[in-house]
Amino acid sequence: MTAVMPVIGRRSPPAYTPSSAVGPVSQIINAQIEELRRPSPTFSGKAKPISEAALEVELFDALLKFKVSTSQVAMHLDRGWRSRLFAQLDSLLDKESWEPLDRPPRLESFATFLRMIIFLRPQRRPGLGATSKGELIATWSVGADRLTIECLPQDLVRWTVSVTINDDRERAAGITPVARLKEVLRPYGPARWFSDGDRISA
Amino acid sequence: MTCFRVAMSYKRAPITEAVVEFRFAEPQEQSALEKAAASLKDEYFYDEIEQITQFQVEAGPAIQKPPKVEIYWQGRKLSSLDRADVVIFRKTAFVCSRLAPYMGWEEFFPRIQRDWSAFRKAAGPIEISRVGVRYVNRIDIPVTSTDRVNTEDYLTYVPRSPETFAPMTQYVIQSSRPLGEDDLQFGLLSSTVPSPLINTISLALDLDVFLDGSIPRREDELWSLLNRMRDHKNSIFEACITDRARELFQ
Repeated sequence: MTAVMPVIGRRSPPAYTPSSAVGPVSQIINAQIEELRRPSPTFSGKAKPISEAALEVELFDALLKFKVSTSQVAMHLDRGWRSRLFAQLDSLLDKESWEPLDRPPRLESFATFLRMIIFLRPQRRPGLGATSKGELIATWSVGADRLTIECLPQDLVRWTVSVTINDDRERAAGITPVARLKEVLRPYGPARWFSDGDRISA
Repeated sequence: MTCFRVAMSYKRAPITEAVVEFRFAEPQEQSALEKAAASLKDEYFYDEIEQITQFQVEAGPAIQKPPKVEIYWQGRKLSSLDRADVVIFRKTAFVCSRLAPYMGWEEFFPRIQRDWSAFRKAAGPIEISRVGVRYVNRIDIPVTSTDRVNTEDYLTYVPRSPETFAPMTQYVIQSSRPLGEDDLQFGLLSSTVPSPLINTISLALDLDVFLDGSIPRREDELWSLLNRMRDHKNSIFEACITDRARELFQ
């Protein structure tokens, strides 16, 4: 039996790097491992848009990385859902609507967003926004009930809810790993935000 | 190699990237590559330049010169609006790639033919030294905190360890061997990879069917070869996975 230990609720550890050695055989092995780690030609090269404007370059670069990242989980997304997500990203990262002083969202934040979406499998798509520091924000609203999730690097999210339960207005907020988000939101009835609308399942 | 089961089609194919690569016997002129890329400008949304940057630093008792930086033009990379369709014209190779979601050989193959034809028109007759059909698959296995994933449950190409060893945290194995038909060879890589999903272990299965030398010069023979290579790739893939893995792709 050849078993692999799972890594639950967080990203896998860094890739294995062997202890240093200098002999000829170890150099061959090192070269083989390096070769294995090399990206395929599709991921090679440095994207270089035609425009010279720094902001446009950053937005272009962010959009490129987000779309390529999404492609890596595309088999877990409904095709229409993916197309509409790309339309949202195109709109969000359009330089005409971008505040010049704001930073484009970071890839680490978008990676958390993608993992969260596939983990939660909400039937309704969120609205997308970004903080000035470069964190992606997903929002769901139904009437006055609102859920806002700010996607931080390393599978952490900062969430806030504002809901009416038994005629009382409740507000709550916290920072939690994505893997615990379902339990954390359960008392607030997240189905009110996540059900109906577009499917995510592929 | 004839004992493989018939290739199946899957609702959620685990293919993260499909690549067809033609390597050239001689480097091609930049002008031909530029011309080929320009002729396809209506087919792709993005057009990027591929460059290689080299840094040279002289080490010694005292650093006297600043680092020497040289930038070399390597090729042009075109890609679709969703970044899933990619073609790269390099001095040394033609690369046609499709990222997930993979829409099938029926969509991929005509694009390879179209883009190669554009390149042939721009560059004239080209001697190909190597043809490769590579498919990178990622098998995403849902787990709970108490699970250990037995790689044999999903893959038949896995490392073996003594029973007394603790479970692996990571692995990578690679091999290449003759296919036994058409003078083809294939490379096979199996490894753990960081999973893009929560509570999931991901195993990569990377298949590269290739022919070194003796590449047909006629295009109809080249396409026929490519189709056979794709069939072989499918057979190898089916031989390397288990029914439990197949269930994950439905």
